[in-house]
Amino acid sequence: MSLLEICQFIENSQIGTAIRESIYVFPIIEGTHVLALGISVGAILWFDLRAIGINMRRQPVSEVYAQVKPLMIGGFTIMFLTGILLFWSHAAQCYINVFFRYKFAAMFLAGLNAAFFHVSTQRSINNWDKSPVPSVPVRVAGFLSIILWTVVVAAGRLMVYSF
Amino acid sequence: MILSFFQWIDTTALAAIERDTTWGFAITSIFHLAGLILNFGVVSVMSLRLFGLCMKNRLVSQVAEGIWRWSLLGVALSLASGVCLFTSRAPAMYESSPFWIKMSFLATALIFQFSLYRKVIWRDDSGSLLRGFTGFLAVTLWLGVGVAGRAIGFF
Repeated sequence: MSLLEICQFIENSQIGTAIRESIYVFPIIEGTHVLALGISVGAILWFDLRAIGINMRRQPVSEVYAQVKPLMIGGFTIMFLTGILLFWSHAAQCYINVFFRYKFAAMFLAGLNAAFFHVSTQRSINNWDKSPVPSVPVRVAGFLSIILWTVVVAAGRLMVYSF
Repeated sequence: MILSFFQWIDTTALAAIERDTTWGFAITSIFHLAGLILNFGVVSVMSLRLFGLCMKNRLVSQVAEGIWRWSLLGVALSLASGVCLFTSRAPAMYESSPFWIKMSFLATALIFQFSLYRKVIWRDDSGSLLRGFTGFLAVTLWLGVGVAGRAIGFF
């Protein structure tokens, strides 16, 4: 079975169809997905603004991270769960949607950026943690994060124009 | 009178760009989303501080210093893009209940933001009950704007 056929199977399942054809359930799931962006991407933005050195400069970077981590985890859990349900209801349409593919490519790169940031900058963290403007690699990671998540949000919004 | 104003909006050049071009509405809505994320994000962080759930080693006013300009930027972005989005279907918005509910929430949120909210977040000696209430109201009002706004598209 091809990936497309698997997605068609998912989309045509009972649950997928029920969500897709519902009057209230789909709007509620979709609305929650969009509004939880404020919490999830908003928390990331809060950290990135510190990482690039233009906000909360008197607070150590690691402290800012520790404080928004619960928001990030909670927010992304909501995004993940609602995202799965949205995909379930439109799996095949999403699969062939060019903006869906951009969205996931950008999310993957954002994840890579975050992982790379954690791994490579942890060793030198004491050098830049308290600086108002952190070292260059940290700032680059922050900028990339903002750009990539903007692409994720934009691509997600544009998906509806390619269905 | 309001209806004829909305109908006049429909005849403007801006409305034509938003309504008739492929990308007008799409790109404007991305800016609207960006403003939402910016404002709702920092309001959430500020509310967590008001509830005493994060950044407890920072004064409330210090956190306020970190969020205020971003909240203003987010609101400005959403307002500007919102006006543009509105022009794309002004007569339909006149008939839309979610639209009027959203405008009510928005007016309340804006009045709240520049009165009680601003008073409480820039002070460090408010009682925890007042802070908690302010934080709760902030999240609830902006959530109301968002939910009603999303409902416009569906109902």
